[in-house]
Amino acid sequence: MEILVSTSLKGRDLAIIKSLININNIYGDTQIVYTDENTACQFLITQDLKRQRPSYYALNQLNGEKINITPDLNPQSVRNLFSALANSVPAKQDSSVSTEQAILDYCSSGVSSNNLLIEVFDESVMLDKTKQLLYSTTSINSNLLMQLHKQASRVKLIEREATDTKSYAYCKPLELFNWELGYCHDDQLIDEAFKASDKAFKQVTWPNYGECEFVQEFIKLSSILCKRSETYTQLLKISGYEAHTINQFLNATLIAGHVIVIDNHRPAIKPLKHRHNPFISGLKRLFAFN
Amino acid sequence: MHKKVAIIGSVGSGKTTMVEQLSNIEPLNTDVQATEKIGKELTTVGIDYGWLAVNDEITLGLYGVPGQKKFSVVWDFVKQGLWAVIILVKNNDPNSYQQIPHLLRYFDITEHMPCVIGITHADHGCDQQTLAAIRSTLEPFQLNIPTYTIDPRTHASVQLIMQTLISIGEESQ
Repeated sequence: MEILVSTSLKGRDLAIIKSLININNIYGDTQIVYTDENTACQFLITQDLKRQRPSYYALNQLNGEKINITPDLNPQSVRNLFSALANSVPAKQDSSVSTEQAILDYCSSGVSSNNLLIEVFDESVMLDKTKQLLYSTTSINSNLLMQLHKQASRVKLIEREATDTKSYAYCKPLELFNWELGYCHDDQLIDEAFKASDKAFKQVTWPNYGECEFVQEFIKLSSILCKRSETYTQLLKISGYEAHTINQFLNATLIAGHVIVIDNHRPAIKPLKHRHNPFISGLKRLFAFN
Repeated sequence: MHKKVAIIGSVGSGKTTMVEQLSNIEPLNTDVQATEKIGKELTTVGIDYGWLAVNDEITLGLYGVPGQKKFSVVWDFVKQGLWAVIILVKNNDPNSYQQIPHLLRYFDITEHMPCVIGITHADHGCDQQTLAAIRSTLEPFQLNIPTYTIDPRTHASVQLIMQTLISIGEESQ
């Protein structure tokens, strides 16, 4: 589990917090992660200047609770704080449907009169698959993606006609947002059940690599899956790529709707080796394609 | 051995620029003063030609040809020995991508022929309606052709297109 912390403090106090996180940010099962975005963190370390003697505390931005840091801000008191945070925050339930899975289910289901609303901390995003747009109350950047990926969120369907999009300051094409959300997630598949041998992946549309962030390996993976479906294991064998690259590709393409999961009825076959083609080999060298 | 890549597109879609980016030699083009307002001073009336040395024995000819049906006599020449096709369309220009079905039929583009569609003049990102219209045009052909937002003036875009063609070509062996 990760806890995002930030601070409004400067100078010596900022240096203490950041250096402690750099030295050791693991407390039990919890990892403390620092962010510069004060609005994107779960806990904001700050100080109350109104009193005669400034006092430090950590503000839980979800529920407004203050955790005092006593007697003042020093390495030991900050370590005590991080330990207390790790023990107090409930982990995101592994058994619950992840935000990515909820988005995938919503986008891949049929025509609907509903939008999907996701609330995390004080912010919310709304997906409208009819207009293929995403609306957000906060800037749609890597911090938001990290929050949606790591933090527990509230997900619900709401009627499209009842939605007021004017309250959302930011907007982005849904396909691009979904791609970015999946792309930042390479440690595991959005649904580990997709790795089963009776499930295969098939690419139905090519991602627009002219606009999406990608790595070169994605081009080969797209070339494979646009021609035929493959299981996760077969894809690993045929491509020779590491699991995190396959995960990143599949998560991005699945959530963005370029790849679908189908039932696999084909027995596993030994991958065919491409015969040597001097023309292709020459082009690969010229255009730095491995 | 000489292989060919056809770079096909409407006026101003970026064919000449792409040939210039890729070619080992100074491209041969047939530019003249434009007689109509097309957004630029010169226009190509025939084809752009360049080539690339793949190795000591193989060259790749780059043929930038107009996309309109009336220039199909030029297409006949390019079609022989064709390895791949790059179709360039302009963002937000339906006239530009309405030629796609005819090109797919004429050049006999199947899933085995490497082909990429590049959407140009999209400095602020491709218009989603353009992308949707192109995908919808491809549907009856059941072809899964990569469609990318590109800038033919940049090395990155040209490299992306070529790497995609190479990858598709390799998987089709």
